[in-house]
Amino acid sequence: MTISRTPSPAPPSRNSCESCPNSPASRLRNNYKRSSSSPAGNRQKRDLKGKAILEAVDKSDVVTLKQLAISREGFINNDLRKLAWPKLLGLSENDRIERPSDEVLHAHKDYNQVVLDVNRSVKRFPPGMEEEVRLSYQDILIDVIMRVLVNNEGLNYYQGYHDVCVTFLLVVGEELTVTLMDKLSKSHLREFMDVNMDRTNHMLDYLFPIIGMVNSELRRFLELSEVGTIFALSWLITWFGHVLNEFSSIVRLYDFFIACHPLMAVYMGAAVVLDRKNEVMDCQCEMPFVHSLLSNIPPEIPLEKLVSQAGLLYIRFPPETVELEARILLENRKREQRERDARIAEMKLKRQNGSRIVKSKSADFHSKSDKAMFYSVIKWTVGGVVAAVTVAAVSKSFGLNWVVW
Amino acid sequence: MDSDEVEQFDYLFKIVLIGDAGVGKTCIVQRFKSGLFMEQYGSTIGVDFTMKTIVIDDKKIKLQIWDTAGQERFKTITQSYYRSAHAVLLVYDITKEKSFENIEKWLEDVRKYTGNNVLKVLIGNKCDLEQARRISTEKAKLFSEKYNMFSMIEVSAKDCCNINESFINLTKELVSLHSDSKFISNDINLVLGERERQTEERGRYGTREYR
Repeated sequence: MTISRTPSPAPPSRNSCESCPNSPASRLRNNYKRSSSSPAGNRQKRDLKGKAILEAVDKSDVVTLKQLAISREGFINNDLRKLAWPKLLGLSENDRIERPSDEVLHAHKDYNQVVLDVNRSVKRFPPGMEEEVRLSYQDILIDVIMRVLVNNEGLNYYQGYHDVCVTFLLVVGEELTVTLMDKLSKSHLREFMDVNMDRTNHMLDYLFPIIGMVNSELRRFLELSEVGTIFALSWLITWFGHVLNEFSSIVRLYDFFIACHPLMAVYMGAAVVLDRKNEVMDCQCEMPFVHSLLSNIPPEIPLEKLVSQAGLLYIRFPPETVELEARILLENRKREQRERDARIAEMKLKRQNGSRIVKSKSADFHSKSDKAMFYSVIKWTVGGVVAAVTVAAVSKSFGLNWVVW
Repeated sequence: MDSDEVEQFDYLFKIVLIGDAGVGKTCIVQRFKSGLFMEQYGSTIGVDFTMKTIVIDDKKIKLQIWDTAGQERFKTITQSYYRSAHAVLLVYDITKEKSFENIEKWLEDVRKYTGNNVLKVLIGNKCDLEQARRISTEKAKLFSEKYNMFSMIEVSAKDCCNINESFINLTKELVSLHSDSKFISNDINLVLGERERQTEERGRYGTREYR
């Protein structure tokens, strides 16, 4: 079942998808006050922040943009996001990625999986959207994903990547989504696009240690329940796009995550779990119960509070302070896997030979791939530049009293 | 699901659904759970969990159903969920040859990661799409016999054809297999006992609160 690929009408802009093509910052600045609808005090603050965002966009001031993205309400609305996101990622207007022919796009190894996932992504479009419009968006979404994949040979598609792409598509339109996703796929999302999920899993190894630094009892409870970290997998690899229902919440988180370290989605996950600590501890200490409680995020989560808590967690317990514990968890998982593999091999041999004594061969832990993974994580934590900028941006954002209200 | 309520039940079984992406695993589970069908469930990322209690011959039976992601790269994650499964449903799409061919690969994983006693059921979904059928019922039956599966059944999550039947037949078989074993509920008690001990501990230590 594929989506019709006949020429489709250009998707009209509407609601959250509204994005005036190439609208100059100056026009937006003049129209700015009209877009606000909340009480006067907040409107005034939003107006001030909107002006600051536009100024930073004009000056391509990435550091200020980071602070503005992190602080309350991020880039405020989708018109501003359309201007600010590319600047935040250091893209210029000349950055364009040519579209290869249909044959090339459709011949890619991941094409069928992409079509399958995009066909099933109906829930990600605004509820009132007409079917015809949605279908043309889905056609474009397939194109956008395939263009990024074809442009980056080493990248592998994962289920959930389409959740990230659709978020950008609905805000910035086709061409900008391609350039934004091309950039993000090589930076923040890079680990998820490996040939396997090993490095993604290792990012999730940071979750319990971060939780434990704040509430050791909660960590103990989670570990005792054997819930694992899979409930947080989609949070990480879709930046919560797969689990949050409100589009406005998703884009607000995207402001935050684009501006921060790739592990910030894990810190956000920790903030979400910590915020629900009473519910969790009241739950039966068993994997199924804890898993289903945590994997369903309630619609009324206090998003802004959690964003600032995630930021504070990052400042108090930066990745390099959590790394050792995460590394221990990785080693434990590897050991368990080795033991399991050995048991399986033993059972197989028993079945084959009827032999009872088989010495298990344990794989060398410090295999090449383990080391490569370790160093690539080190790259984030002591590589420093990105981390330092993020810490500075996070710290400063919380210190700016005119944006924190 | 009400997590506060410690329900009484006679049996608890863990069932895992595996198979290629897009064969309809989530649709089958949701149809069984709520009786509803939605054409567009969105891809499963990682693992989803559903609980359903059914009564057979006055016995209350709780089914823990784990619905897994179909994309190959998630296998390393989902495998850990097979381990303690009592039954595995291997799902293919009767209109997609590849999804049937891949059942062999999925079976290999089942062999590797589950106990010998796990019950295997082969499920051909989308039997409402008869005109697009690529896998004959006979072929699938022979396959299931060759691999010593408990049963093979064609279902349609869309038309709600054979969905409840497949879960109920499977559960009846699990009950008869485990009828003189209390190990399942013992497991639960063990965990609950541990929790009580932990609650005491919590009172003693206090908790470092997060602002």
